[in-house]
Amino acid sequence: MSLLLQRIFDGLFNGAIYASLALALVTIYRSTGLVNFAQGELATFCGYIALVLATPVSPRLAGGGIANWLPGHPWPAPVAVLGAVVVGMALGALIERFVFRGVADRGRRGRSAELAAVNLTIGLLILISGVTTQVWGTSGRTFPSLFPAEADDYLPVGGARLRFTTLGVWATLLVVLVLLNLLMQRTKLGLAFRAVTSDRESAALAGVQVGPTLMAGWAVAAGLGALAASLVATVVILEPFTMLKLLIYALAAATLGGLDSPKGAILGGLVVAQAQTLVPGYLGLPSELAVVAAVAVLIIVLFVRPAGVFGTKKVERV
Amino acid sequence: MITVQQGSAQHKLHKMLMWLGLGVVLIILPFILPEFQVGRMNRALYMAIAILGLNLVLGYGGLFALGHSVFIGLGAFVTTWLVEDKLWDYWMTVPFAMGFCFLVGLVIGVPALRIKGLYLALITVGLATVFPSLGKIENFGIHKITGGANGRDITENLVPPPFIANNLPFDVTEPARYRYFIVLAFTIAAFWLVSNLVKSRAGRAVVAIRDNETGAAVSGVDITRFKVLNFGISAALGGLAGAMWAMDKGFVAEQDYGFLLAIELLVGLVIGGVATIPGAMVGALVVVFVKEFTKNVSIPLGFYTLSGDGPLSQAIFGLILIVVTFFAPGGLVWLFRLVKSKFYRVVPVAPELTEEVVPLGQADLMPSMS
Repeated sequence: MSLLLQRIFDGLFNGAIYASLALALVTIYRSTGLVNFAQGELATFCGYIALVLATPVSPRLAGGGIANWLPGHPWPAPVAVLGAVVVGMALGALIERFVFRGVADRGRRGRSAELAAVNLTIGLLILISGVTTQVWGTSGRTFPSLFPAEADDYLPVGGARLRFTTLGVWATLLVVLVLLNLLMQRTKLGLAFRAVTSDRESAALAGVQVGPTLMAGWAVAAGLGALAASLVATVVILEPFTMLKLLIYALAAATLGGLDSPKGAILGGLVVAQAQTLVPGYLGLPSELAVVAAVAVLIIVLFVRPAGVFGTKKVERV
Repeated sequence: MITVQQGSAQHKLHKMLMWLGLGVVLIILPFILPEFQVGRMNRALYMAIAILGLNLVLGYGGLFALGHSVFIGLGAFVTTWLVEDKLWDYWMTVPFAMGFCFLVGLVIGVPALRIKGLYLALITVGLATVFPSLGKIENFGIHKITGGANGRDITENLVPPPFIANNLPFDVTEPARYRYFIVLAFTIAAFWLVSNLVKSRAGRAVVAIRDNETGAAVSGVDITRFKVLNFGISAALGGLAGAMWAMDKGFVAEQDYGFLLAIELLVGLVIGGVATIPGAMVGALVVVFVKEFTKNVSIPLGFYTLSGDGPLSQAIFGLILIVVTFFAPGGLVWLFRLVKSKFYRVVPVAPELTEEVVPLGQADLMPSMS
């Protein structure tokens, strides 16, 4: 029993990570109608930024020591994470403005625009991961923890250990989810996001400023990604490819829940993580199969419900 | 500016000269290049086959299936297994590698009917990422076939039979050069078949489905059949590429067939030109040789030296993919055709009229209304 509970708790933590990255994917899909394959790498990059902001400068880490000029540097971990979120938002907005907008404007010819967008995100994925590896190297780095993470910082529940980091990450995630829902449902910006995604031209004709709206969508998503990476980094080691492995789980989570549903992303994250910890644990399968289980779950769900569990079904006009 | 009539003697002559020139270059190339460059040419050739397969699904079929690295891996493993464990000849394994991948392609093609657009892209990227982990599984004897994490050497080496090695005026006994001609033969066959396929009834059906699925269905195209078959054929080409890979390298390791290979295929396709036949070859050459080129680059930047070996070459690939998508969305083949059209124009032959054409103004457009 306590073993089962422990596994569920472990799954809870992983679930939080997948859910946070999936949330970023959902945000960008809802605000721009795009699946961003570069989301994970962008997030990793921001994670490193947070690391640079939070640690006293060593030349190898900061690549020249620019961070030393910042007042009060090194910053405490939460402030550094906020800084990384800001950097991430700026990067996201810049990428939208200078990489994606030109292609979107030109590619009104249907299919080719979608392919171009997929190509661009994949190009960004390898570009950013290449740059990250070039600057910070391949060796992993430890990250200052945001929540109490000593060996005895846990809540004993039925013989299993519910760690404070798990609780902290989930609390952060729920706050973000509530804020995101408010943004999407109650603000003019949220309405603009939905209008732009459903029909760009009609939105423009109705007076929505398409460009800034898309930029804002990218900024919010990239900021969320930065937050996700910082949360991840407090527990696993920060490596250039940390997020590529996680991206698959996050994609599975986002797709499971439905690409346009934030609560679906959270739930999808939980399901994928539990499947990942419980299935190999109890069926005696090798741990490599965990990722296979995630993809298998994904395929089965999409086969039965092509728009995911909570996703809005796409109505096509003939 | 040269203008020729389509199908005229002059046009035919130009075409023949072009093919002759290409043929001569392809035959001479392995003899003027050093051995290690020939090895890279081999890689470019079988990458071209795989990109051609991807092109069938992505370019002509319009499906975002990005995980064709899986089929290369499967083809390579099937060949390894048959050659090493079953002691088959390389020749005999090729149809089996292709057939196996064809079947797997059919199986993957069926869900692809229902899962569309970006969702399909997600799943196939997922498959490509998962594939190396599958190769490492220690149950069911899988890791014995694939060699697990260490990879596996194929001890059987493909060397020319004595009647070739002894009776030719030039030397083809070096393995890479001999294998070059074998890979080349398969590549030419694949390109010939695919270029005919896309012009055939089936090929046009696939393109029609891409451009307007409902319209195609209304016109009587069996969507399920053509989509799934297209997927299968494209997977079989991936399998052929994998078999060539195993034969040429004599070594397979599952981490070679992961996400990065899938990306290389996509980059090659986009750089060469989506939905063009020569694009697959051009893209493969660029992918293989740019990668080798960037490995030797090193740029001193004052505080540290950028060396192209490793992460930077990856970053350069990303940059190329972005820049090409941005400035030459049709790829290099499109650029080439653009330049060529400034110097060389083919005037198409007007189709013969079967009945007299009534000018629009005089035609009775809506007889029922009048």
